[in-house]
Amino acid sequence: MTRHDIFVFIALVLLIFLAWIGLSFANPKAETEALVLEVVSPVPFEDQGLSWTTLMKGGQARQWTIQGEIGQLILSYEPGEGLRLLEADCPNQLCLHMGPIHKAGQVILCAPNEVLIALRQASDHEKEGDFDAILQ
Amino acid sequence: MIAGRLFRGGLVIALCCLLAGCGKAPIPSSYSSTRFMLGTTVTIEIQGEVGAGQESLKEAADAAFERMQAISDQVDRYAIEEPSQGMQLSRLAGTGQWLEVDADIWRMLSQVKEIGREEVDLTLGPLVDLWTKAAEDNQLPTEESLAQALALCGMDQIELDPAHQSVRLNQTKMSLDFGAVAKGYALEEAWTVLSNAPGVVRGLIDAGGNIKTLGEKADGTKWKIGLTDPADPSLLLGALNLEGGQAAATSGDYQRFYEIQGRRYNHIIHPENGWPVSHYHAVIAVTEDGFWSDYYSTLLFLLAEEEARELVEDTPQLEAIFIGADDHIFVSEGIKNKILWDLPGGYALDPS
Repeated sequence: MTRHDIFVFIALVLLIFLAWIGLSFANPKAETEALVLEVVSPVPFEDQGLSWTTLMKGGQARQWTIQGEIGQLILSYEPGEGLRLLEADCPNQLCLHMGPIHKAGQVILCAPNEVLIALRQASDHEKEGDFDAILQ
Repeated sequence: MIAGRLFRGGLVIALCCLLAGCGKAPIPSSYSSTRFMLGTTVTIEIQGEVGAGQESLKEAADAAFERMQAISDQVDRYAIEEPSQGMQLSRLAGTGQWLEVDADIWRMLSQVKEIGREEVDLTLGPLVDLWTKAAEDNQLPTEESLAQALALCGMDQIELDPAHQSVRLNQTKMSLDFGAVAKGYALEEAWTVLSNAPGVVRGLIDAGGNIKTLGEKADGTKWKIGLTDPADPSLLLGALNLEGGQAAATSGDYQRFYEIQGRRYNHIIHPENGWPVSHYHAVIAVTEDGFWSDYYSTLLFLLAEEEARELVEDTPQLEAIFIGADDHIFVSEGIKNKILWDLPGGYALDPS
């Protein structure tokens, strides 16, 4: 074994070690426990993936306008209460009675507008990664 | 000298393996897309043969979505631009007029009517409307209003004319609601489109509580489906292994409900008394066909435990998982060894 061989060997070990360190720090597990807002709608939602913690820390009521298939919906956040739809351009208005939501997995659905509002654990995506699909 | 050359050669190969991912098989092309239809999100994930273009997979998925959308349009109870066939039938109810319906509406109505279980009732529109209004008013429906709505329901009030593929409803103000089977029917039709699409070898369709698999997974393992915890839908109770071509459907009390005076009433209504049922938190039915999985998950959800168990035993190729309202779980014999449970505290698995 020449000096050159030893140098290459050490470089290789160092490369593997650095790659391992890099992957360990890149693992987002520690950051994925937060609850996030997800909205499926015909027009992309402005605050997709908004952290629930951010909302709560703000301590103030907020409202968003969501553009649905047949009209607009007004989504509201009230501190201490959660998210609910205040207004919806839809025939049966069932969606107005589906809130407030404040826990992971809860949803508000407006079928005529093709809008789904959900609170999910950011770590859900990691959990779902182990499965081909989740039977809701 | 020779040892030195071998060592250097080994290092080069090791480095190449590290950088290039040595030993990995060629990755087949894949395509995934999600759309909103049938009142839920529908996801299609498919893989093609190695070398198959993404464009052909996209075309196959688009065709499957188009098929589902066509079915969705025909059963829509609130279509605005053009009345669906379901709405047209309701408008003609009680007039004595027949309406020639398309093949999808015909198959759904005739199959449900033929099997003859009165619990799965596609005429529950008046009851659904009554409970929707009750939720709006935050007031439980009165017995009188329930009786009036119930009088407008019943599969025996639907008349079918097979010679002309025509349908009529016997009483005015009757209204069809295909919610018990439409998603499953559309799922099965989309699966057929994907099965016949050139180049598609495997995949999965996920239509909000209704899932069907296509082909075997690339690594030879079973399709692994997570089972949602009804008490906390962000958690899972375990994993269900499905074979290629199997379908699973859930009916549950935790996703859709009517909230009245602070209490939640699930959306599955018993046609006998007009009230939501509460035997289970969830029932999962597994068959080879998306339509029948959807149908049986609804039917089993409506039946009390003993009758539900008997029905599963007596029905070939039907398996089921029951998560009772008292948190005890029982599973049909043919599916027991296909579930890996990871139960949180509070649930009890029936050993029988």
